Amino acid sequence: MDRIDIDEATRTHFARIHRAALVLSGNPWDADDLAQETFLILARQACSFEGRSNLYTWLYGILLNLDRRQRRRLGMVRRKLRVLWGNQPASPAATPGANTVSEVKEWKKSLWARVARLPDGQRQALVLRFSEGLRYEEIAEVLQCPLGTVKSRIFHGLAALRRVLDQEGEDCRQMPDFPSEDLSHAV
Amino acid sequence: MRFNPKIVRGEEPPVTVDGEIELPADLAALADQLGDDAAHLAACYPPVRATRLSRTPSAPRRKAMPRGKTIAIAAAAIGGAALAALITLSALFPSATMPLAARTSGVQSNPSSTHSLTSFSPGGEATVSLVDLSGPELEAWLDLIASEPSHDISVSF
Repeated sequence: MDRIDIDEATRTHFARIHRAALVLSGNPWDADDLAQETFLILARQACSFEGRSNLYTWLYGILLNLDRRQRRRLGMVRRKLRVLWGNQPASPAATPGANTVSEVKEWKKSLWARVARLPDGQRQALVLRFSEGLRYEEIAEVLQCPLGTVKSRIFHGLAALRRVLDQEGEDCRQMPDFPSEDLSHAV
Repeated sequence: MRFNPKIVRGEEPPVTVDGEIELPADLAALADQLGDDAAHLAACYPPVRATRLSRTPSAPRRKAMPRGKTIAIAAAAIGGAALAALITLSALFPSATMPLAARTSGVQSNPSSTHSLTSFSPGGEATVSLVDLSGPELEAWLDLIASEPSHDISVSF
């Protein structure tokens, strides 16, 4: 197998890996870190790439593992914070700045913010299919699962996304209208 | 019987003849929207220039003043203030400061010579133009004034 040209691989695939990282993480800073870490791993472990798959599918696999690890770490931090704060819902001012996920406004407005609430398998399948445009076979290779599972995750992921949006619509409809009563005395 | 998770299969999605998933209209619209959102995010937040991994990547930094230049400027400011103070002292106390001034600046103290910072009148009065003084030099002057209250020092504009 030919030795991988790291610089060439970076030039060719960095943008797509960064886009996937952006969609997964919700902010460009984490996306930069994830993408760069992906290629650092490539540089360190290039010799272990056997060439049986496309290089970019291997890179996506590395990225998804890094993202999963980061989400797990953030989840642990949030759980610890809940213990510290006595299971009270943390207001933005109460939580510390470090290790706090800060999604950008554009991401929050997009559907990907809702996709982030889905289970890992569905979320990753949707990212690889609709953000990165991978074929089902390539997604199966990245996720190390059968082709039927990929299609099932995509279908059910979209259905779950539909339910999330419907639920958000319900929540908006249940919000009370702006009160007509003058509440200035309460301020 | 041992639980075998492979027996329990999830609902298989309908597929077309081409093998594509047959999505209802609302899910197909969601799929299209996901693609558009991803493209929009990528356009809003393009990647930073990919670092060259063949050598140690260096993050872009603000251009910092070279350390040697900083030290030189600081030394010049301190030296200027010290020189100004010495010249003034030599004007006020020529006998006391002449050896010191000669040692430090290598210049013979001459009360009648003019200097960019001071001028000496025959009456022994020393005047200093504050326009040319830098911050440290001005500070040195103010300290001098504070330390010599017996002398008449006035400031004119």
